[in-house]
Amino acid sequence: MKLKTIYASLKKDLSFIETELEQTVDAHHPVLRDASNHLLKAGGKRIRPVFVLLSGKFGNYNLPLMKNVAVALELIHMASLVHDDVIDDAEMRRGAKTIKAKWDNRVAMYTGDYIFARAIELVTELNDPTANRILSHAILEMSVGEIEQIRDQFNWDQNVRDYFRRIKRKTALLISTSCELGAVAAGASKQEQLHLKQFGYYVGMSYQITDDILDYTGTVKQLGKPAGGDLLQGNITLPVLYAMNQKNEKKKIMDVFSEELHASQEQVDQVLSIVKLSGGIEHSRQISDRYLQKAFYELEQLPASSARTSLKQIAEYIGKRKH
Amino acid sequence: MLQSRLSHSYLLRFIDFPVIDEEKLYVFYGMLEQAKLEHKRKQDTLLSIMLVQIALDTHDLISLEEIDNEGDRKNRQLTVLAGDYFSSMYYHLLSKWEDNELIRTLSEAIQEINEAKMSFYQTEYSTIEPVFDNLKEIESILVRKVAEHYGLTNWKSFGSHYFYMNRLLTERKQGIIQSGTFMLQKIASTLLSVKGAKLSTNQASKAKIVLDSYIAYAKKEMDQLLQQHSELHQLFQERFEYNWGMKGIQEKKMAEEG
Repeated sequence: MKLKTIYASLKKDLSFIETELEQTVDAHHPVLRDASNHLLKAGGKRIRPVFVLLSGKFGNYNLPLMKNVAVALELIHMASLVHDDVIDDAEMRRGAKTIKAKWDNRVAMYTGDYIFARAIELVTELNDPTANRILSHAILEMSVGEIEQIRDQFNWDQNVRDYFRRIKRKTALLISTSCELGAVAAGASKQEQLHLKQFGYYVGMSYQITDDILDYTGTVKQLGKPAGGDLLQGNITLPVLYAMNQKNEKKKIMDVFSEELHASQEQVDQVLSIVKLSGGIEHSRQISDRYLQKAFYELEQLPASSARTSLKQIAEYIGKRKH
Repeated sequence: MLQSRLSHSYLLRFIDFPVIDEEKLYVFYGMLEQAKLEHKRKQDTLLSIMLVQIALDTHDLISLEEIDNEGDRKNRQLTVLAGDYFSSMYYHLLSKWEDNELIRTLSEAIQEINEAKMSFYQTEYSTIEPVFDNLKEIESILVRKVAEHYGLTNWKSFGSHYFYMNRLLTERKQGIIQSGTFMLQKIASTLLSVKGAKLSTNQASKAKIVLDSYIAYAKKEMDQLLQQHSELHQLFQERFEYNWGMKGIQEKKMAEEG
């Protein structure tokens, strides 16, 4: 099933959120406004607002209130992408030039900081200490996760536990927070808040593992860039970690990279083959699927509803997506 | 306490320890002394405000140039992340105190500051006056918002001016060490139509003369403000004279000239 079909039940509300997103980043300074809009117009799955809204359906769904959380979560995601592009020195994102490429690093930093602050201000509209506590914890952990990702680049001694902790902070936490805050804003019961939070965490883990698999298996058309981009940057993900745990494979991989810190595309292609032959892709798919099953279990603890069905469909889509 | 919060072992392997602006710390401390907050809360509030300032200052350090070595690349990456980390800490700290209102005030301040910074960075001014007005705006926003938040009207104009003065002198001091700070470049590009990052000795000297004239004018205004507010006069006159007095400037100029 396509994401668009799953989103159909939320079409009207999502269109409202889209308008709100545009209005929220309507800065006074034209460059700040254009840069913020530039990323917004490039699109995206809007998965975080969707999780906020669907989780809100388990309580008293009030769109004017929910929108503050939905828009804030997407803005936080956007702000982190703007800064990530400076970190990665990236030229393209979602088929469009990055802010740092279209303008420069300084414009990207100011835009990211502006969007981030705007998001926090929106959450204060709820006037709910719990919402601030949950979100601030997630943001702090995310930033620690990003620092650790840089620290762990080209660190061949890291283990699977390091990887899971990193992707939890990098991706799963914000998705988990989207679900939890949606439930909190709508006043869902504590038990429902907890199940939705856990659901988001498991989906987030599955999402990131799938993303990391796609970096090995995706085509240029699907990814918008050649496969192996993570390896090129020294990001060691589950498929390669699995391969390195197999007899002789670690040595082969280390031989390819030898002493060089930066790999060539040819070296990366060699490692891609080793990883594929080791069964690393298949293993990672199984782990991703295991997280999905855990996510489904959390959903089953919630009352049956069309929102629950939609959450399940999105989780399935995430696990099977090709881009 | 602030230093321990800013210490992240991995970050500090690659980036310099963040500069804590003591003048700002002193002003915010003085303000919060009058804000009737319980001791621990006052400490955390001061810490949060300083974290906002340090996060913003850290992101100003991001370079624009192409990078061709691993050390500089790591430094840039971690400077971005350090700013984000300090920023997330202020939010986390105030959330613990359930201080929704101050979180809102500070997030509004950050937005306004980034608007003003973008204006300073992107606008090609035809005269020099708006360059300094823009700089004053950047320096004023945080202290003004905090003063408004706690109803400390006396501190609004004083704090704004004190921070502006502080910034002008910091620029002047940096300009002595390395010709061509961002501010000097902006003055040069406005007055002398200079493009590019490097200034010649002659261009830097001309820019410094303009900067000095604004410092002299700001000093006069500062003296007037201190005369108007006797309670602030007591707190700041000595510090002001010691750190930034015109005598100090003269000495710096002499040292620079040789």
